[in-house]
Amino acid sequence: MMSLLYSLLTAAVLLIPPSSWKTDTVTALTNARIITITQGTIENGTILIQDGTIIQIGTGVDIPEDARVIDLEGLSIYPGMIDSGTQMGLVEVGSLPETRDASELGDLSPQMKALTAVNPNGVAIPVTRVSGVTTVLTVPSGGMLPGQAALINLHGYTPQQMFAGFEGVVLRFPATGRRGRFDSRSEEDIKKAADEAMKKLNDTWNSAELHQRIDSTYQARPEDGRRPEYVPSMEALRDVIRGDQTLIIHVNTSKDILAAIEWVQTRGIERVLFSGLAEGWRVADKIAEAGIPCLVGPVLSVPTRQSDRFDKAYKNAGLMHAAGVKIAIRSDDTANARNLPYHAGFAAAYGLPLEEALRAVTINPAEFFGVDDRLGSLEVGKEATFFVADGDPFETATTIHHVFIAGYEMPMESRHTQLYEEFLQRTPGLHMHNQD
Amino acid sequence: MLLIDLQSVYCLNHSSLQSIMRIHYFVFAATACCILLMNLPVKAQVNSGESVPDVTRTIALTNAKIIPSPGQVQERSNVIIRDGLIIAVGPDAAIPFDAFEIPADSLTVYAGFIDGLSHTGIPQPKQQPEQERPDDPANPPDELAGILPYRDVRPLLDPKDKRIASMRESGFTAAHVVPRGRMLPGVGAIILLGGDTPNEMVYQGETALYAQLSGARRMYPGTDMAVIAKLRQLYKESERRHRADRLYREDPTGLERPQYDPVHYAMFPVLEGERPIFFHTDGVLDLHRVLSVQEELGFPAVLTGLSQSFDAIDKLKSADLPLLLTLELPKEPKQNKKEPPADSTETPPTDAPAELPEIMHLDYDPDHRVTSFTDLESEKANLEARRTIAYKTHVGNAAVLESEGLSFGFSTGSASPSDLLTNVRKMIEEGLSENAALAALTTTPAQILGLTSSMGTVEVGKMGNLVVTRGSIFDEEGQVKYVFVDGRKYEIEPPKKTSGSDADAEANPAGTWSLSISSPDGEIAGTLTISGSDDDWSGTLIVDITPETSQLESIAMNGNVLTFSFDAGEFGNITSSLTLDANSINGSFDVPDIGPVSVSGTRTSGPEKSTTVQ
Repeated sequence: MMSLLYSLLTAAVLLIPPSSWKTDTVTALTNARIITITQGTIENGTILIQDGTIIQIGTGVDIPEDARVIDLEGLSIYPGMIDSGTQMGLVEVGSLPETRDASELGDLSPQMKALTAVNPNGVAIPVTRVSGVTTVLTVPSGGMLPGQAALINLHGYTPQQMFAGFEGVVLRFPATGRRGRFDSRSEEDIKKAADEAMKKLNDTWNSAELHQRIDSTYQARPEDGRRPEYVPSMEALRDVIRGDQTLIIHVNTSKDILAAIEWVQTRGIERVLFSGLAEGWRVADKIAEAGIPCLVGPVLSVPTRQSDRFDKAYKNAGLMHAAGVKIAIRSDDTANARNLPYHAGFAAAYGLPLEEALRAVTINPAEFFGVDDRLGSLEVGKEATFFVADGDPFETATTIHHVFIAGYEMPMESRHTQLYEEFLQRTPGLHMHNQD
Repeated sequence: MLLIDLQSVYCLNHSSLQSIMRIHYFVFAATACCILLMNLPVKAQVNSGESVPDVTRTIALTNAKIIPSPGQVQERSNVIIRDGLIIAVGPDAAIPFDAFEIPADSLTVYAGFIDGLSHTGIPQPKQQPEQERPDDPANPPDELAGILPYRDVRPLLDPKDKRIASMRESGFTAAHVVPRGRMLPGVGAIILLGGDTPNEMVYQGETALYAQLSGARRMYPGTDMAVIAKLRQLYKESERRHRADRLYREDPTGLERPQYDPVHYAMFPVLEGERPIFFHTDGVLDLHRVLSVQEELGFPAVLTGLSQSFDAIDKLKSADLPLLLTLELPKEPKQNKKEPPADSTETPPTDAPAELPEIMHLDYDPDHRVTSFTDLESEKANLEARRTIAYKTHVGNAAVLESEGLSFGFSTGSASPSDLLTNVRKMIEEGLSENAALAALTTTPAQILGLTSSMGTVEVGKMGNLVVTRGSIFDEEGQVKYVFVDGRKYEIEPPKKTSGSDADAEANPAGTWSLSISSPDGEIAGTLTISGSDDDWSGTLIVDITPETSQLESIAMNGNVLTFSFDAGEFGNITSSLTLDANSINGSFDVPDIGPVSVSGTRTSGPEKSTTVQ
């Protein structure tokens, strides 16, 4: 049933035009409760935006006469939420291979960029943004070095328009344990596979480091030597080794997390993010000590071990924060990345301070991705990317009324609302038969 | 009767229960997969065999001990390879900025070994096609009779052939390969033992014609005399056609156009002296036959195989042909150390053949006679002594050739790749000098194959074909660490050591083993019990699906391989071969009509470690 529904969804090309409001006119959002994240909460405040940027924020703001005014009496403005782990735009329908573009065959393809494959017309994009999630990291998968993840805004006609200014090389750290309950390999086979994977990672890194060294030497004095071999996969790792690009390491079990920390330190990699961390709480102190920021999630999940309490996945983020780990929260989802606020909400309900939960979907990921000059909070000079809610966005009863991405007001329409309308206004409709 | 009925009923119930369980499991697994797929659409990890790409074609081996050619040594030198060629050798060779540096302080660098002749890279056909029976077996078409001198080996190459990698592990970097077949299997090529495609592997084609005294099956030429007669016939015919062809090309007036014939035309380069025939022989009689036919026809030839050349030294000297000695050795007879020879007072023979080395103190008496069955032991001991002498003579073959001043190269032929280095070491033990051994692996085959300008030594301008070892390659402890083929590095994994036992120790199978048998119907558990000691084993096997205990028969321990057979009722007589490694056992049961079934197990009681059996 579900898949039938999804097939119908993809059959209809969904083009929602962005708002026709010219962006050079000033828009004033007035009488709102403004949750700036970084500069406290402003009651009855006003935000002025122009050319996609917040030009003024606070109380007693002078509103230009020609400004478009949106009165937000009783409503709150939050910065757009950032989901630090999705496959938005890469996967349309999980059960249709034709619509899955996230995973490529092969282990070593760090040169592949997820951004190039993002489908701006993905049905999940409007579905996600109308819930206040305005920016997502879209992550390729498959193999050890599946490619480069890209941060995208959920608005735009081309991948380049959507690009939010961050790309990171993804490393799926070799897993040493059983992959799940259906993994029937013997202990010996598991260890062998893990050793082989680790050796391959180290071999790859040795090669990449050598390639980087050769390239540096050549660049310094090109007249002395010949051009280094063109090896795209190694070139893609060069910026990571030089500390110019971030490496996003997917790692989940406690043992693997410790191994990954040691590996990062041995290799001296400067810019690292961990992602996943299902068992992060077990080794939270070690992660905090290493000072590696973590993209934690999914929160709405089950414990990794049968001996764990039922709520360990919910508590994970809170425990890690308490140990001093800098965290962002991710949904690790695509069709339901719209549930990001509820992932954060569950973390908040299970120990993560509410304010910190908000930061984990706004300013923290913005800082981790180096885009905190434009995204992640409501400040003058930042992009006008925010949403308007009639309550706490982490509560399911809350409705989102407006979404702005870089100053463009998004239509509050998505496949969900379209289907809702369609079923509501069917003609002749089912009641006709009832009247007979 | 009743018993049988009961059993079959039991079997039926058992199997139907199993199939129900299997269906349930399948449904369950399928559901689980669906759930997994829905939740984690792309979590499946693809384990690809993709290798880490080379980032540079420049490699520097630093501070190594280099053996540039047999007999020469350069201590603490660097070797630089760039784009597949050696560009610098020496203590002061500068390391280029883009080099992948391998500190080789404790390593020795030799030129890559060259295999004079083998079928490396040409997989054995899985199943011989049903041979067509010719209408006239006395005059069959050439193709059926194994006469294919026009067949090129290059299209037959398969880079995935396992022998390529295992030859490389023994230090071989290039090989002269020829097609498999019978009398005239085809034309050879020089291949590099590395590369992902056949084209990458080929270094040079159309090197030589391969010939052997191997007759066709149930048709002419089937015997040695027929093969030689056929060869002579072909050769003469080809000469005739060659002449006719030349005359016709010079001036066709009054001449009939000579017809094309692939076999004859393939012989033309041989007639013109441009392409040698690599003639393979095993026994000394065949060698004599080949030498006479070569002398008679006078074709350029290289003799290969030569496992009994110690008996034809003078003939080989006068023939003065290049020699490629096989690295295959006969199986070493099991030394019976326990008992001294039954009759040790016998005088050593005085009229032993001159070629035999000094080890002739052995107690073999060619005139030994036994008078009655009570004296069989002495005959057995005498025969064993003779066998040992014959073995030592074969191993000492290379040393004899060297001492007689005959230069030779090595060919791997059909020797098992894992035995190659061991066999060279055995030959050295029997008197072959290390320099001659190295020459036979490098410079001499390079010379015979016309490769001296590109292979065989570690010199500037030569191909980057190297063997890098820890310790001397001819030492038993010597280990191949890296092999470079055309400048591409191959790291060689050290061979697995059996834990806690020295190499000579025979593993002790005594004890109880818990087995897991991978039958087509799923895993079956079993218990294997072995008792006894050296060559006097007994044992039982209990397989959990039947309550019966099978008595094991003909149990034997060979090295660390345990073999036995047992009667498995309706399945027939199952033979088993299991390899022991301290406390684990692996191998297979060969079940009639089903084929090999893999078996693994662990020791549950018995000697904790494998111990040396005295």
